[in-house]
Amino acid sequence: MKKINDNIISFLGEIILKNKLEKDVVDSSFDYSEKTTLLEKTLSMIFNDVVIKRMENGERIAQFHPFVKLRNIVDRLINNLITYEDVSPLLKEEFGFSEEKAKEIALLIKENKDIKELIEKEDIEIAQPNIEKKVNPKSIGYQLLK
Amino acid sequence: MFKVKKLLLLVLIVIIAFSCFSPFEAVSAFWSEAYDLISDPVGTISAAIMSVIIDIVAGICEFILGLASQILTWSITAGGIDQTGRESPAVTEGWNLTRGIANSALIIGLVIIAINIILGKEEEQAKKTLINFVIVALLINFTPLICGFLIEGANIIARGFVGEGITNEMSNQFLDGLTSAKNNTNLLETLILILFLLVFSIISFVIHLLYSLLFLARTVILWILIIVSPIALATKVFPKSNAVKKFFPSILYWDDWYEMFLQWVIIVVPAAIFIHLSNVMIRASIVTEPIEESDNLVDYLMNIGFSFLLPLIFLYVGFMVTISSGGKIAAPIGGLGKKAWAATAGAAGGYVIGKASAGVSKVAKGAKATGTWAKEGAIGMAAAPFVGQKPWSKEGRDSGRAGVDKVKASVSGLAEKGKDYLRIGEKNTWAKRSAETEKQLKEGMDDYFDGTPEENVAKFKMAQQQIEKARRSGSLSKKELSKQAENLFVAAANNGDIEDDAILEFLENSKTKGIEVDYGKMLRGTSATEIMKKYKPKALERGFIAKELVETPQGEFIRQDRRSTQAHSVALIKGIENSKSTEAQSKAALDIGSTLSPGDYKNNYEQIVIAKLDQLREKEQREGLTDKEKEQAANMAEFLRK
Repeated sequence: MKKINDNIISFLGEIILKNKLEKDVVDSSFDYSEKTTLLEKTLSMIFNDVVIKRMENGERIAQFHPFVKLRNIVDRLINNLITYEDVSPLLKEEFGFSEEKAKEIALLIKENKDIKELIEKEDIEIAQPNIEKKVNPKSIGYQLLK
Repeated sequence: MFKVKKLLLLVLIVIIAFSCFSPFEAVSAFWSEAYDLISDPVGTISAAIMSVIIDIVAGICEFILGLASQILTWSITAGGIDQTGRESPAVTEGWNLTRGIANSALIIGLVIIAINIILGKEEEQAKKTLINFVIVALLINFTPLICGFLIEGANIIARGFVGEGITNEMSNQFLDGLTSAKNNTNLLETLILILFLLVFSIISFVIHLLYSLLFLARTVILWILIIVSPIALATKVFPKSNAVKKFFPSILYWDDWYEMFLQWVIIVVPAAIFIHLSNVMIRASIVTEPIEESDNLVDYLMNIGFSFLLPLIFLYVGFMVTISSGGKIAAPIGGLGKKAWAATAGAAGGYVIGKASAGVSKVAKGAKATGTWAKEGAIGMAAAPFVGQKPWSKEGRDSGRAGVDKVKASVSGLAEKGKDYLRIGEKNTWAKRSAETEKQLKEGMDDYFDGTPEENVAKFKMAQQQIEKARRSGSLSKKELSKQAENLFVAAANNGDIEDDAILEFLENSKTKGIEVDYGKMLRGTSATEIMKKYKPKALERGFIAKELVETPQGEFIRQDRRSTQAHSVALIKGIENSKSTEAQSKAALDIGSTLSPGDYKNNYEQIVIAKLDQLREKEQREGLTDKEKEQAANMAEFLRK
């Protein structure tokens, strides 16, 4: 199964911050400054006390966290479980975006170089490796049997 | 009346005859003593009794000191350490027997090597083993010669130090001391001096006897090791495994045999060095000059006591050092030494000092006093230069001691706290606490940290000390020590009172001492459900533990699977946050809350495979497939069929 990389994590974080989707998963201590990298900002919006508190209260992260929701859509896309056409309706459904907004974000995803590469990349796990032959061809027994 | 007259006449004749036939000095001395008896009957009789007592004590001292040095001299020369067993029929016969068994074991080994080479299983290893086999088969026949050579080598070195045997200087000095006691007019001083010399004779006797016992034990153990040497050497052919160790336990296994043999061969060298140094000290430092009028009794006794005690302490310390290099088997002799020391030297020193200074009557208290006196003096002496004083002067030592006290005062609060936290007192002794900890370290530590936060921290330290104690004593194998350290690690990780830093420090310290606790490996080698059973959520909240579970199936299961407990799942995410590692967080962000993860993974994976297979079918109809693609398609079809 193919997985996203650090660049895509930052890209998804950027979408979240631009659309102000992080409000419910961070508190006032969240660092919006330019000094902090996008990757660090994205990670700190996932791993923080607000999220942990919500999880402790029984909420499932996949149901409330914008990053996880977005990443799950991208995961399906890169693993060919959905197509580009499915992205926009899913964004509308998950985040309640307007038609226009959903299409805009879907387009951003479609044009992302890293996501495109992953979609085209072959999933190495699908090709099953051959079972390793345990017989040592150099052994005396092997030579005799030969 | 007639009878009395007869008796007086007889006495007169005897006296006249004695005066006529005896030399003048003797006659003079007799008349002088007769005069003393008449003028001071009590003093003269008590002096006579004292003289008899001193003669008896002198006899006892001379006898036991002579006996001890004779036994020790014998044990370090021809009768003892020189017996390498080559002439002993028991060794010859026993060795012949074990050589036969070893040859049988070698034949089995040869068969195993042959099978391995034929089957090609670990062929390289088997070929290497074959070379070992040839060398071992040859060497087995020469083990007594090789062992004898090594034993002789160590004996030659030892003889260089104690070739002349044990000096009888101590015995001579003791006798001088007793002669000086005879000339002393003060009854109390004389009695104390006699007692002093008698006790030191006994101590000297016991220590010399312990050394003799050690050398004799060495001889016997080396004989046994020579007897089993063919079997031990034969085990070199077999691969290192627990199964082989079960067949050839303890000294029948090469590693254990080799270790013990070397220990017992070399043991004689440090012992000889310490005996030699003690001899030098006896010659150089023993003082038994008679007490002078101007001398204070306490100072005098301290002076001669120290000069006697020093060589004996040297011998005792040397004995304990020697024993500690003798491994597990020498430990009981060491225990005997400790008991003997407590019963003789410690008690004696304490008794004498107790009598001389504060009149302490109990021997045990006196023993403690000796130790304290020596310790305080040594601390003062060591610290004196730091406070600008001369270490050899009493004032200097006192000033040094005062300086140390100041520092000690600032840290003693902490030590006392530790003691309080462990509730050490009348009911809870250190020994009881240690025994509890030892038991739990062996059997698992589920309920070990059951106290207040401070108590738990103190208990954590105590358990670490317990492991260190076991490591130093050599009572546990490395594997057992690691197991105990693992138990302690899990228990500490599960307890919120123990800080991350304290656990990491414990792991680091253990590692430097060769006790490996690879918690990452432990976690990766345990199933997710087992991890959740063994580790409380508190443990998974620790950054260094959570980090190890990132990108592992176990970590994924705990975070995502419906069968994972909510508490563990949240704790692991908290742990990843606590790790403050961007790398760990990035990796975790890849699948946190994924719907493509464990629970739904199989179904999703099948969907992916079906989609991929469809793509390949389309391509086949369109332009055909390469050989690699055909193989891939066949694999996928097989996967879906299963």
